[in-house]
Amino acid sequence: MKAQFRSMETIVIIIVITILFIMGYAIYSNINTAQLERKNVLFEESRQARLNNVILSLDEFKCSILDIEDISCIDKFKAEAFFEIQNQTIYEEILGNSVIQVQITIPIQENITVYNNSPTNFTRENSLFTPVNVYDPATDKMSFAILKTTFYE
Amino acid sequence: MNKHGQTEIIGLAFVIMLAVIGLLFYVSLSNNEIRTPDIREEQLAGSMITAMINTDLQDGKYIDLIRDCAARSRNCDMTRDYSEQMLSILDLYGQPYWYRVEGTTVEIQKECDASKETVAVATQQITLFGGSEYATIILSLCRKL
Repeated sequence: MKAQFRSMETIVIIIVITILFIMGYAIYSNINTAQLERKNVLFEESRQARLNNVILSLDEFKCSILDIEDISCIDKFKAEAFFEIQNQTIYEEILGNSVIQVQITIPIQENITVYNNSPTNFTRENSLFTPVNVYDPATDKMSFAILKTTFYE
Repeated sequence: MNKHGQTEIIGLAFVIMLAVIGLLFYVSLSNNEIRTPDIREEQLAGSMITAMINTDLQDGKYIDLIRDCAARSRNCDMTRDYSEQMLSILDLYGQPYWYRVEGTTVEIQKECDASKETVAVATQQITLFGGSEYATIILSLCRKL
């Protein structure tokens, strides 16, 4: 009887320890998955921000007037002309599968599509909005605009 | 010491070992915890203010409206309206913000105030018409809930 009780005790302890291990592993897996997902989001965000900075620093869009080097400024004429370029394949390497739009909101509303390379099949799309100025060389005025960059994967 | 006592001690040691492993696990995980970087918010706040003060409105510059409001208490409502219009980009991110021009009535708050945790602050000092006085524009971005 005593021996039976001993073996029962051992079995219960083994079961409890096994359950504890399984629970620990499940919690660890959940935390790990959540962290990986968060890391992935952060990586995506930094990739987008980097690409956004590349766009703003490209001479093809950047304002060419003096003393505004530090401003996120897009030349309206350059942006419009860029879209007219038929052979955009050379920019695919830099800009990838994305759509770049400039939405002027103040003083008058106007939309300019700068680049459009949206794939037909994609699993995810993500947009980034950046406040910028749009310079109109014809009027010598700066408008307030939103640079909307949509990335596709 | 009898055999039963030895088994008890081994059991106790095993429990302590498990507790130590658990503790180490917890410490290593909490150290690896990623905090949302505020760099993006700082960049957003900075570029927001820069874009705002460089904007030309239909009848003058936005910066002149602020000067007018700060120095002469004129056009403050118009300044607030334009500011609100430009700051609406932050709503696209669901970003709580607090925009104010010190010394004026221009103040726009969207779920953000001094009691909330701030993730980024951008300030810009602009000289008023006389050149000796300043107006300070402050844009604070609060942490999203």
